[in-house]
Amino acid sequence: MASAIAGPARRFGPANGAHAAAAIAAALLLVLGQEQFRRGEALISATIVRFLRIFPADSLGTAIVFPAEGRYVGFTVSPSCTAALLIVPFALLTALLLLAGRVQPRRAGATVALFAVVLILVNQLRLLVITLSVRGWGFETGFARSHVLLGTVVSTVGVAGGLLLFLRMVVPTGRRRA
Amino acid sequence: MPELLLAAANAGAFLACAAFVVYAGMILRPYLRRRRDVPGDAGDFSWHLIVPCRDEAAVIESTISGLVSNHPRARIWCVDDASQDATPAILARLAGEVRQLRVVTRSLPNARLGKGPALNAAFDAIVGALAPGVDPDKVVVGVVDADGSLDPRCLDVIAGPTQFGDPTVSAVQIKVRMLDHVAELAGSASVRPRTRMGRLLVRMQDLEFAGPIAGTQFLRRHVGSVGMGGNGQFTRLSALYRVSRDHGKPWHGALVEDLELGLHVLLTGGRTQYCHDTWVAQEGLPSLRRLVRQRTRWGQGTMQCICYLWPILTSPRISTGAAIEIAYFLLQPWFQLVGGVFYAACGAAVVYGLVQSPGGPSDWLNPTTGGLLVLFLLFSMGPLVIWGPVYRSRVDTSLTRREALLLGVVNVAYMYVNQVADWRALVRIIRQRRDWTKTERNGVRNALPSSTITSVARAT
Repeated sequence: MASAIAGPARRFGPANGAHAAAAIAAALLLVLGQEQFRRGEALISATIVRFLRIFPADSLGTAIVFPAEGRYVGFTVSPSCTAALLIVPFALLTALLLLAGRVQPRRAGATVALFAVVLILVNQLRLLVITLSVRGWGFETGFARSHVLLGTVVSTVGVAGGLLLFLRMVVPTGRRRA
Repeated sequence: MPELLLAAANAGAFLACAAFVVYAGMILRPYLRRRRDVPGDAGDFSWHLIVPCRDEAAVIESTISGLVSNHPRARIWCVDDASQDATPAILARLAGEVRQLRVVTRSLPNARLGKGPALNAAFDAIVGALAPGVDPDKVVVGVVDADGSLDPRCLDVIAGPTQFGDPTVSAVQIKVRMLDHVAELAGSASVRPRTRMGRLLVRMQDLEFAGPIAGTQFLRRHVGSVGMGGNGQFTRLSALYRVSRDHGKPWHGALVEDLELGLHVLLTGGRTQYCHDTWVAQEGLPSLRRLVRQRTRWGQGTMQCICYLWPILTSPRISTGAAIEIAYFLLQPWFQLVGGVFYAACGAAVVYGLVQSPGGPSDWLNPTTGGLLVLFLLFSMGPLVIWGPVYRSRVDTSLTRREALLLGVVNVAYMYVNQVADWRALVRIIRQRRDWTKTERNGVRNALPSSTITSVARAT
């Protein structure tokens, strides 16, 4: 059947190949270096929490720690909680679109970069919601209420928004048909 | 490493959920904001309606009667695909009585090979019967199932300026409804299913076709990837010529030859369009077994069409938005297979936790597990449940709010039919089974007397 459906293909330049390789390499780096990525997320989160004067927080490896209820408590940015693994499929999807000649290399780079920033910010917002819940309801109750429910609502809405932005950037509006 | 794999699975499941929510929003928005299309004049085109018939004695006479009386401009081509019931005799009698009707007879061993080859036989017959010099842009070929009933206004509606009145449109798919739920057909020969379960299943199919499937077509209309269905598909002869020239014949061998035709139309540079302002009605399936079997065919056919993924992604004739939407659709059965295992495992873990909890369900229900349930209701069930109230507001206002909400809840369970069907489809693919037994008709409609047809035919 494949021979029957061959047709003219899109233009595919060497820049597309190079950028696709870069996108795949970025995806690999995100997987292999996810621990360093999580350390960075914990550091940013602790800085935000400290800056907003919610807690005098600090990061310890992949954990965010702060004093609450007369003791030091904290939570870890686990592999399941990081934005790194959420960015990976979109880096690969962008590589596929580059190989198919669907997106210009410069636009592809900007799309992945912007999408990554959005996901990192959304994850930071999620971590902030958890910290605020701990401050409002105490550590045990606050973490339990926010970790799954509130945090995931924030993530889902944020990632859905990021997804729409991703589509908006890779689909040229001028080519849409009414 | 196991932690990383679990995290990757978690990320995949989360992204699938987010993509589902986005897609649900993207199909609902244009559906709720749609505007009516302006009708045109069917007289601007020459119409040929193909009715594939394979053992259709129970329904074919009333179908032809409806087509003849409602669409006097159209020529009707019935393809008798070596039927083993009374279909050949009925068609032979009608051919002598109805001027508009042509019968294409296929014989074994070159018959009963599927709907695609039957449609190709009709295509050859239509081309052979055309007068020399006919403009193929002005000839439209439609497909109506043998149990189908076509809206009397259909041809005028799809001749409108946003449909075939627009010269860039190559093919149009119209809305599909279930016979029992089309108000215009109330009091016709249609008989409602006898059991409550049967009526519910048919109602759910009507909700599905007039709701989320129509919504999907509105999104596709926006990005340029409208899909063709097996019933109520209309294609310009010029587009069928292009597909034949580039791909050998108009309809091909996948179990969803309709989807395949739409993809070929797009690959050959044509544009497909959807029309929600007219309908074709068909018999709903009142049995779960038959419904699963039908959806297994759809699932296997869509899986077969995965070979079009790369040609579509690389085609300069298909917009990027359309290519992404089609890729999402073609990958859906495969995602469902993986997702089905993952979500079933999650469900099993929840039940295990519930059973093993020392203090029973009340002890098990804490902010974390409660949060999971709320998330499930919000993001997994919500986008499906909402179609109940939407169906009530846009399709069937006779439903009460409570009934509409209940239909929405049933819609969640109804969607699992596709999960079962996709697994059955995968098994068939692994066993290299490409054959198919046609879904049998309900066979409950009473055929109208042939005298009705004769008088209509003479009046034209």
